[in-house]
Amino acid sequence: MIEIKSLTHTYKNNGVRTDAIKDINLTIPDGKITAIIGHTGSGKSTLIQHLNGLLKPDSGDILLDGISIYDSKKISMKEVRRKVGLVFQYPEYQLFEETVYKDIAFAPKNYGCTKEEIDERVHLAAKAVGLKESNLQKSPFELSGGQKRKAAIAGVLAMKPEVLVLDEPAAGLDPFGREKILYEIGKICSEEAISVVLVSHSMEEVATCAHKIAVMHGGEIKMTGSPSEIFTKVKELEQMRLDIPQITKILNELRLKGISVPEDIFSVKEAANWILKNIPVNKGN
Amino acid sequence: MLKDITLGQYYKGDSAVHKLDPRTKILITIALLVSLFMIKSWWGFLPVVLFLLATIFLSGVPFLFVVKGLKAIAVLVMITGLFNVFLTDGTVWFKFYFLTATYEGLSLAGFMVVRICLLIVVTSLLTLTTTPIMLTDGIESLLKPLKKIKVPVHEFAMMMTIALRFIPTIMEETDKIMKAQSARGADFETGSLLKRAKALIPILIPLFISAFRRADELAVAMECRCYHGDTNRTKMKQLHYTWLDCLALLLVLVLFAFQFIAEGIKI
Ligand SMILES: Nc1ncnc2c1ncn2[C@@H]1O[C@H](COP(=O)(O)OP(=O)(O)OP(=O)(O)O)[C@@H](O)[C@H]1O
Ligand SMILES: [Mg+2]
Repeated sequence: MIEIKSLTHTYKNNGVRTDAIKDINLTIPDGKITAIIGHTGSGKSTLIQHLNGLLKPDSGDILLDGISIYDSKKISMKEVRRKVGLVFQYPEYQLFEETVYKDIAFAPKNYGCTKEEIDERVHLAAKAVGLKESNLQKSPFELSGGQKRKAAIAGVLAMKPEVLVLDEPAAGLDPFGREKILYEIGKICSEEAISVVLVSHSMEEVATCAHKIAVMHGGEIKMTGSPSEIFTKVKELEQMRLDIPQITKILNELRLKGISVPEDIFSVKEAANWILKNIPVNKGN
Repeated sequence: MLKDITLGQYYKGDSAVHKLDPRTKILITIALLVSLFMIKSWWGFLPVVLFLLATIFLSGVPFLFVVKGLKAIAVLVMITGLFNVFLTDGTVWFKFYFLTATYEGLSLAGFMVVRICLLIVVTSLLTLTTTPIMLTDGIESLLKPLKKIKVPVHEFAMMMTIALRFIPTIMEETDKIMKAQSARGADFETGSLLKRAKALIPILIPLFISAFRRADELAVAMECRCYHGDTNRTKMKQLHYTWLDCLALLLVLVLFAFQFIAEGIKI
């Protein structure tokens, strides 16, 4: 479990100060997918770079299983970075080895694993993200965009992190690749018992897979809750320039027409089922 | 971390100094640099210092911001100073083991330090008040006569513009890649020299790949817009001399006259 306590960070560049995040309080529960949502520049990337100590806050603290990650007597920064695996936005640009296998092996090698251990971890990580064995001996630059991204995520998974943090893992992929990556992430969370933090600016993307949603705006967390709690606050979300999923919009239209649709339907499938069951179809005209 | 470098930086402003034609500024800078090397007496510095102070004041760049550029070369200046103090012959000031400091050395060291600092201030004033684009435009225009002897002046200027344009981008990218590799347990700070050199590979390879990709994309984009190099190319921002430039040149001439007189003063 990660507890973020009144975290504040200000970027300072030659006297220009940008308050990127202000007084953030958030708990990331074990074994669940937590989504952090906000529009461009709301401070999402800044926040998650604190989770593994890449950025130092101006004030505030982060507790990893009850231990402050800045307490170098109890936990080293290197160990923090292992426990909290961070996948950057467009991670495929960090690939550098001759083969995908070697690139995934980079992290376990840095952590001093034995050869057998590395081999085992590489294969497990590749399997977890759905990367075919035959791709492991290829050069990373021969892979497609989506495959490259999977390889990069596997490179972080190979550290066996307890928390996996992903910054916009689906950005720049086609709809099919997007769905697939999100599906693999959901699977990693449930099968490997890893907590996942998912950064995104699209509600649509996280609506079906997240257990908890935190909405960021202007460097602050404006609301947290389960998807069903968050999506009822349409007005506030729109003020923060966020869109609710299309299917939720349709259901809201139905509600306006006087049809009482339950508040906790978010996926297209559930909605279709409910509509078929409850709204009579006029055959003929 | 990489963003702290201030040398060669532009300070946005709208002053008369900013508005001067880049060619004027480049020429004045060269003239000042040459004159700094010719100064032989302490009094000779006075007109230059006054001129620089006036220019800084006019440009609206905070004084501290200008001086900050000196920090980068502080070590160099100190070493130059020390060498001069100890290695000049003359009247003995004090002895330190086998080293002898002399009064002549002290004065020479002071002279050198002042000269180097002024050189830096002069050049940083140029880059602080001129955008990189204007600077390359100015250089291109000044070197135009060389085209007669088939020197590809325009192409050089274009290369310089592109290089300058991409420095911040590449620094940002380096920062990002370093972070991404640290997140995978890479360690750049400890270990032997060889180990640290090896640790750079995971940064340099992605950096080169992305630089090549960018270069490729840029080349395609330029070709799509029918870039053909110099021939028949017009400019959106034409360089024009104004009365401001005449005034500045006049001022500099007056400065040199004063300097000539000041040089003659004997202490
Ligand atoms: N290295 C930096 N130096 C200065 N300011 C920065 C830096 N990185 C980010 N910022 C600023 O901090 C704020 C938050 O940026 P951040 O990258 O965290 O946003 P984000 O929510 O991740 O946005 P996006 O969805 O576009 O990735 C922005 O206003 C940005 O301009
Ligand atoms: Mg971001």
